[in-house]
Amino acid sequence: MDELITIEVRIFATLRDILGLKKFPMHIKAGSTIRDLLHTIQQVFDKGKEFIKEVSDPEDLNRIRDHVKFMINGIILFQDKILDTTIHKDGDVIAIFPPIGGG
Amino acid sequence: MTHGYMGKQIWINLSKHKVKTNDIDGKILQQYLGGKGLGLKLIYDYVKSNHLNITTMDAFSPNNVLYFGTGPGTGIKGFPCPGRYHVMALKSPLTGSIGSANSGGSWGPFLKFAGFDGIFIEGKSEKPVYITILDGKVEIHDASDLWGFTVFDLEDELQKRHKSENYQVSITSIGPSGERLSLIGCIMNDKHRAAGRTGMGAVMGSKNLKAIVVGGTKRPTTAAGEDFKPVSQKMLKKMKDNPVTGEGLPKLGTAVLVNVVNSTGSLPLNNWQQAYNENVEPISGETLAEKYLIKALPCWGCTIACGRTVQVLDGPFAVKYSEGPEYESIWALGNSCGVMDLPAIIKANHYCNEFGLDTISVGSSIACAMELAEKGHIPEEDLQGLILKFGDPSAMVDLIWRAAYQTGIGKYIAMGSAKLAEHYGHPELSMSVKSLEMPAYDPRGIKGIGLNYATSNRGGCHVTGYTISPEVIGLPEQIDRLSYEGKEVWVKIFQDFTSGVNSTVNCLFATFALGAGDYAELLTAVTGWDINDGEFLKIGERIYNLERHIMDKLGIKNQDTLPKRLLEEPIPEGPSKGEINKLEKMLGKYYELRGWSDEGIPLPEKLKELGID
Repeated sequence: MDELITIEVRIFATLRDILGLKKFPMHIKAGSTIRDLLHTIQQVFDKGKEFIKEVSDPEDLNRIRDHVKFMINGIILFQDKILDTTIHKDGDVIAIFPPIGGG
Repeated sequence: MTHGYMGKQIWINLSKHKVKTNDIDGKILQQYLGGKGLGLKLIYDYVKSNHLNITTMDAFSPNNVLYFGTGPGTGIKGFPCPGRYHVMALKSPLTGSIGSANSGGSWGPFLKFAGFDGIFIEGKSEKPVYITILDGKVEIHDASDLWGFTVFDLEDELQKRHKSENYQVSITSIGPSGERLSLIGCIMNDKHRAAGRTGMGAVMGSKNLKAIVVGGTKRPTTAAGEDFKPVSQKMLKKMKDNPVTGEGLPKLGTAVLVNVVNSTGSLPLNNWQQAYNENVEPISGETLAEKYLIKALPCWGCTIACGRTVQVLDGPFAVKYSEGPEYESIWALGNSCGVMDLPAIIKANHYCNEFGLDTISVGSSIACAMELAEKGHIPEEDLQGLILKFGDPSAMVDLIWRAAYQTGIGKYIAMGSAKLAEHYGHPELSMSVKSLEMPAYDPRGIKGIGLNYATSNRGGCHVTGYTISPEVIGLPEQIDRLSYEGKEVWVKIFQDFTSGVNSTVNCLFATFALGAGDYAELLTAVTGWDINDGEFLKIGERIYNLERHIMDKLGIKNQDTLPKRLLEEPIPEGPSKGEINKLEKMLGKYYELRGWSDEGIPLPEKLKELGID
């Protein structure tokens, strides 16, 4: 049986305006991918679809939009590997940012 | 005269109150562009022709020189981010190395509209003076009645005195900090814009120079004429289409980085004792936007508009109107001091602008004082009743005043963290490189920026080679922040590229969207030179090496390192827990790639290759 884990999803900047949240816990199966996580977000939240649209490539919804950033426990995921990256541990923190810059 | 330039430099000897102007040879412009590069070249030639012994020279000696420079893109409508200027000094009083700082706003373009590309200042006036450069006319005025004015009051007064129906004026000046020769005193313009780093305000103060007022009706031309438009449109479209310059920075400003960098576990906290703050939200860019933002504010001619105007309506830190604070200032006055109070940070940032203090250096020096005090290294009598501990917003704001007017412990904070920590017997608690306080990225969690801090010519500086772009932001591509692999190549390329951009006097934010080839194309259209991307990077490399070569003459060598804390103390918690920076894994390879000696000095063959004699 797949183990259920609880992770924390943190969202930032303009993405917060869509879901009206800064962070939320999610219960997922260990080994779920970011793709699975986004699918769940789409199902769970009223504005989930809008959220997915905002982080996805407008030309290809199966691809994350350039410069939208995903981190797992502070490790920045490489653009072409984001959707297939798996989440394993209870307590993992997934951070999602829209395009950002500055310094 | 070369297109893009006004064709005239101003030379002012303040000891003799003499002014002259001349043109610069086109070949030199093509080799050094403007701003930082041209400033270095003029300074180098000045030292050689005057046979100055600069190793022993005091930074406050009349022999020290200041250069205010624009570039070929400055003041040209349609050139990306054309609103900046650069200030150079032969010697920084803070670091003992070359002084270098850069600012936005409108002063740079307005200097060109007055008819000039740059101002070279030598000597020292006996009495306080200010300079006006208005529509081709240069004058030196008595400023005895203005000495003691804050930046804000001074600008109001000088705007009144020099208002014209034909043009607007812009003012660059020093506040009480520069007048009192604070080593972290900066030069301010347009009230809230700062040429912040390396104590350039103190050099201005040492020359009794209070302000420079510029404005006029002249305009730079482009070699391409009407054909500049399609080049401009192409570049501005690239910036608009880029998610960072077209969306991230305009919508969110720089402060959004607080949460990003903290999420990587690389946001220094409490004088770099930690690098992750679970409760950073009260000082995040998101909170700034939600509670205190009035609107975005661009520099002259800029299409990004990353600047922010803010207000705090009530409470002890109320401010009716202010600009900023930028990411670095929020970090230095906030997280670095453990202060999680955004109104206090806005107020402190406002005071820094009013008094002319570098926010990064003063915030970091206060953080250093807090650690010294908490560890019992500061005698109670020096604190004059002030209880100094991390997380106290009132103490942090209070210390800005004390540093500006150099009262009590403020007189040591005003000298920067290196001298402060040394004074109290613990130099290891200054989080600086070459005595310049490092900015808001912990190189234990972001390896390449550590190599950049260590080898940055002006000291602990992020914008010399902003490897945060690939290591965190993901431009031009995402690389692994925790890997050492190939970081020497990234650092060298970013440093050379940035030197070229700083000498074009363009905003570094444009580089999120534009590469060396784009700058070459822009320069070709503006000046008529035929240069390509490789040549643009070579210009940058020449400038970076000339700066190092002058540093060698100043006696700065073997100083390419990081504070002991970053090399030996692992980050205690958060996403980068356990990390240190193993600088030695990168430094040797970097020197080899650069063609420098083990002491970090350019080898003769490298200088020859770059045409530096």
